[in-house]
Amino acid sequence: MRRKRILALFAMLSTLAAASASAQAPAGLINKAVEAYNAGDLARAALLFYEVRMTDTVAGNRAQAEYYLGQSLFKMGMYQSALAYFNAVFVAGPAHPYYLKGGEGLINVAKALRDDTLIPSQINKYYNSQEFAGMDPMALSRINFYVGLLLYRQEKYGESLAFLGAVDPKSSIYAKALFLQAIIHTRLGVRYNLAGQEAQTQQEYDQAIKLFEQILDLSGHTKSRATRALATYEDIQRLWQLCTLNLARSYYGKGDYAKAVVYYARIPRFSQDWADALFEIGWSFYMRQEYGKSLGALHTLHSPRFSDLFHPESWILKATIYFQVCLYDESKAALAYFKDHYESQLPDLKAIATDASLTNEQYASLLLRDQLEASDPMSKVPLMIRKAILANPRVENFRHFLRSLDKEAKAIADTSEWKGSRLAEELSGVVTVQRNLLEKTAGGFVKTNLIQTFQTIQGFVGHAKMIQLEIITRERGLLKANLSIKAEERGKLAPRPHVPDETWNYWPFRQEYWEDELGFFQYTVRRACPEGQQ
Amino acid sequence: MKKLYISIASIALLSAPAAAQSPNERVHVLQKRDYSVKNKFEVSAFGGLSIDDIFTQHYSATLSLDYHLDEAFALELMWMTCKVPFALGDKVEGSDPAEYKGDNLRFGNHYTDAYDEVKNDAKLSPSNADLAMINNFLGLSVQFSPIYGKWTLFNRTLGHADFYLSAGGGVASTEFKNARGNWVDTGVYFVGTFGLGFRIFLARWFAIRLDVRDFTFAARVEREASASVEAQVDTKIRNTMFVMLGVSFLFGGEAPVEIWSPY
Repeated sequence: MRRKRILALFAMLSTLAAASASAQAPAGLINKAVEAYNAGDLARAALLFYEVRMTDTVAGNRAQAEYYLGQSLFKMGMYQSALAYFNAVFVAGPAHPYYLKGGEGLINVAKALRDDTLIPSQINKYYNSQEFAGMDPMALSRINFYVGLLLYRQEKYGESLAFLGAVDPKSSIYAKALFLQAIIHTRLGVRYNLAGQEAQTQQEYDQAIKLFEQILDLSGHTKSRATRALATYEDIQRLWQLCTLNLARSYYGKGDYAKAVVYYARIPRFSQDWADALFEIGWSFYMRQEYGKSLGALHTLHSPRFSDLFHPESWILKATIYFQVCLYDESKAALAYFKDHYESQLPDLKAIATDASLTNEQYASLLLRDQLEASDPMSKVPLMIRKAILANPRVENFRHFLRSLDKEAKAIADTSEWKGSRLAEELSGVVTVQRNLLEKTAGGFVKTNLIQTFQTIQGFVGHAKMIQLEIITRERGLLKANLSIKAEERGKLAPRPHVPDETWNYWPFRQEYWEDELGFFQYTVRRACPEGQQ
Repeated sequence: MKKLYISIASIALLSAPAAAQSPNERVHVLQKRDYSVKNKFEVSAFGGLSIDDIFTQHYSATLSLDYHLDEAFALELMWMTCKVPFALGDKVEGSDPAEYKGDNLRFGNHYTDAYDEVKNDAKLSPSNADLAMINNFLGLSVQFSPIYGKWTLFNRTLGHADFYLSAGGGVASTEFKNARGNWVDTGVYFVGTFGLGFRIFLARWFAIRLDVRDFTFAARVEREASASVEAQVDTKIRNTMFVMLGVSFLFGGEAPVEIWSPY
């Protein structure tokens, strides 16, 4: 459905581009247009190029005007409008004298609009490896990256790796390409793991680890080289942190929980990825049977700092840990919290996510509006879930795109030289169509996320029920064995954690959260299991 | 243990109440000390004011160098001066003991109301030993920091501090002002010191210190002969206590445990 919409948009853009000449252009108009362009009078240049493109009888002039019209609009910050003409140049194929430049123009627009879907699809459709060989290597690298990204999303991992592997190491997109390759190997590792193919699993994770480390090595592990890398590669700082997190995940996937813990612990406190790292380090400690540390990590995650965080699984993990150490009341309390805060939201969530009367545009308001009115159906989405959806990095791209379109529509209306012109009319149409498409796409994104959230919670409801059943069975066992049902009457409370040396501080937690203590909690729990039961 | 909460604000840093704790578990915080001083050198500069002399009050400037043997113990070398360093003033010819002119060399000094009452109301003269003021002090002491704590100011700032006690000794030169307005050098004494204070860490390399230090010495000062009194030597055990406020710069020691990260 979405692909059809994308194709429809590009078809419209192509139609605009292919509009035939209806009158002859005055001789020398192209020269005037070029002069205006060179003089930086871009609004006038765009108008003149448009006239040439629509009226000139010389094909070469029309082709030149088409490209430079796109270029003038791009320089004016009218990216969506520029896209229409670059696209026309590009889809015309190698016969168009500005074919490759049109492709580069598309890439520049994609970068400016942060579009990693629409334009990459179009480039992929018309990808011509022979012709692209003549393109600027940096632009080609970006094209290869975008196509690789697109194929990755389509789960065509082999093809994606081929495109990503062709990215030039000197390109600013190189680190991102490496990162995506590593992510693909991680995905493959998961896939092999599910299929029970241990050797391939290890191989894929090892390959991912190698690539993540390669990206970290771009920093040279010194400040001076890191500064140079920051100036060279796009978003490298963010990638470095993501590499650390994904190294932890890869080691976790390999079953090397000790190393996973090391990398999770390197995620800076209070950073963007810290909540994820805390939750996942909780699982790593759990796998190492370091239950006190696992509960400690969850203690931070469940602190007031993260009060709005959507993390249903953390409560299931907590209940599981307590179950493992036979603290059934505590386990039940964790499950009760899960029920009150997550399971209870299922009816409302289902009603919104499956309401057939809601249009995609109505769903989109969750993303695109800062304030939701009470009458807006999206205001019924629980705040925690709304925040979780808004935390998705793609949301900012949607918002950026929308802001860009609104700005562009205003700029078109405000350009005095274009008042009443066919150019202004045409560009307004392009922006309006794109805005409608964006709203639909954003709405689809929200709807999909709401459904996924619903399914996620529902999945954990099943886990919660299993734990509850197991608890009942265990408690019956205790009664049969004539043991006290109260955990405090069974086993001993473990001693407080060992303080390594005097450069460490030990503070008892007394129900008061100090910000500097977040991330440093550890539990000691009563070992309440009867002998022989773990 | 070494936990000192000086919670100026009564509410916790993060305000939501925690759930009541189960009897089957304990929650602990185990964290690397933010402001470790182990094996660090600390250079401090203080300005001080004497607060407990009955008859005199004067100011001091102090430099100290501390070496922190560990988190609890430190050795401190201190030099305190109450006048322009190494300046005695113009010597009065033929004076014995030596007398010097030069009131402006001290950082400031005055006699207290008690001195005026004794001198004017009771028509008595305090002994010269009571009037002796420290010129220079050089000493060594041991510092013991049993308490390390943190505090919050209206939940906006989180600070760390340590509280310490110190004891040691050294030598000091003293002087007093005689009836002619000249400063009389009274020689060098052994001095015992005892003090307490705290440092508030503002950075790993910088702290503010407040120190109260008592200097005890046996002042042995000759009283000049007059028409009614023969020359004699007054001996007094003197305690001069200074309140000193200063800044510290810390360097060396263990590098903070931070894994190099490019982000």
